[in-house]
Amino acid sequence: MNLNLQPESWPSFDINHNIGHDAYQYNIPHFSYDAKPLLNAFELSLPKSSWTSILGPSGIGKTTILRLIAGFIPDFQSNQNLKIAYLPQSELLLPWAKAIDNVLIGNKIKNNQNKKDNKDKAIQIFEKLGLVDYMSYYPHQLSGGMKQRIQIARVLLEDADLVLMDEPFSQLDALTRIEANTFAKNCLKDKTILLVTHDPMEALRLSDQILILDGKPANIKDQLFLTEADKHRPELIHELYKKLGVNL
Amino acid sequence: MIIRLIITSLFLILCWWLFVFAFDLPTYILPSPELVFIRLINSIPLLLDHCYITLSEIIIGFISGTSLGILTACLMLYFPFFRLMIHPLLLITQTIPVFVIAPLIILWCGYGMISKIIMITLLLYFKIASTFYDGLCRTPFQFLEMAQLMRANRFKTLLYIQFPSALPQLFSGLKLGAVFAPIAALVGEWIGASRGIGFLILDAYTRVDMPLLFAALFVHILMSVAFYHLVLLSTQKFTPWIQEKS
Repeated sequence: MNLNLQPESWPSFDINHNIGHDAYQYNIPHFSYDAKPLLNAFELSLPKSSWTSILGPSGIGKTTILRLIAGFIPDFQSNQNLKIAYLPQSELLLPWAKAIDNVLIGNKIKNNQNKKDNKDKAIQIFEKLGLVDYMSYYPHQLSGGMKQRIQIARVLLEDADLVLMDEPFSQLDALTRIEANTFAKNCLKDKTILLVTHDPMEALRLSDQILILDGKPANIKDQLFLTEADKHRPELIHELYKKLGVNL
Repeated sequence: MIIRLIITSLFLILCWWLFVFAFDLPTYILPSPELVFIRLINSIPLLLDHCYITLSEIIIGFISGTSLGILTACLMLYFPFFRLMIHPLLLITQTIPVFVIAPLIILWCGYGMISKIIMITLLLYFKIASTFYDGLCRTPFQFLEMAQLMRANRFKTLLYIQFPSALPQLFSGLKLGAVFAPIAALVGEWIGASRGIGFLILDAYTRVDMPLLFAALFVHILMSVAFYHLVLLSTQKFTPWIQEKS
């Protein structure tokens, strides 16, 4: 049992020490939206090859954190050499491209010379993920869960260093969502993931670290480090909900 | 669909025949369907000769109008100054029917094919440029952000993301163009030409050769429908995700 609850330790922030892995460090700047302060400046550390979830109420700035890291906000371009993949809430498959072409789009854009090699790699990923029968399907011919799998296949082929996920499972029904969670966790186990979610149970299922965002402007209010064994402890669920301000 | 079209056409021909028969109309007012059919069969070489001219005008005008429209839309997307200069012109030209300036084009470019090709080009150019530009601008921002993360340059973003994303709008413009291009060719040939289906119709009218007029009209309809379906097939070929969805 290695539950490491650190209620008041944030933002002293010494994740490297706690986790014992290298981490990607981000200095999230003070950020205002329409002259209203949204985020306080804080340091964010994402341990490599682990899943970090950000939980918090709607509109608190979870997505903004992802967009800042991705460099999507013009005044806050992040100067980094990391390969980043982004899975937003809405589906990000190109409707005009078949599943295989959707997975290969990154290679096409980067003008990778060895097209056959890339295609072979993509086919291998499709085989590994059990999607080989769907390679020639267009996105609208696929179910929600299948689309998520194709997006994950793309992330795998791109071999991104950091994967930013903005509630990518929120549009799936409950059962498909759990399936998609397990699938993503298995496929992306070697990747560094930053997941934004509203669902505490999803965060528990997937994460090695949970960050709880709160306040106006928002800051990291709390963080939890989880082991596999912790995830099966019922009291942890209560603890997490309590930290989110919900009494079960 | 073809069966429905045949049934409807047969019904209309029957009504036409009954109308001529019931009112005993003279040929110079309304010829009977069988007279038109006989004239059609006897004039196949003549009709094909004129049809070839009109169809060439339509195809060349269609290709040049589409190419120029696509090029203009791309330039508008990437050069704000060019967009600022040309956008008002596009809006204004949308309100002026190309037929209004047809006499001028014929005056400047002569009675040959060139003047009709220019008319069709102009008709399509403004439509394609504005619809395609609209499509390029409507590319979902998530796709653009994805391209940004993949470190795509402007050309790659245009080629792999914006261009295919705007294809549905482009093909909507093309379908509209496919309807109007044959009309533009016909009007151009009416205003001034020495060959073409429009010229043949006008010539048959002045010589009161009504069966030939109807035969030429029939060929024109057939050609226009075939051309429209060719564009429709291309739409289905190049935007299968839209067709299957609908």
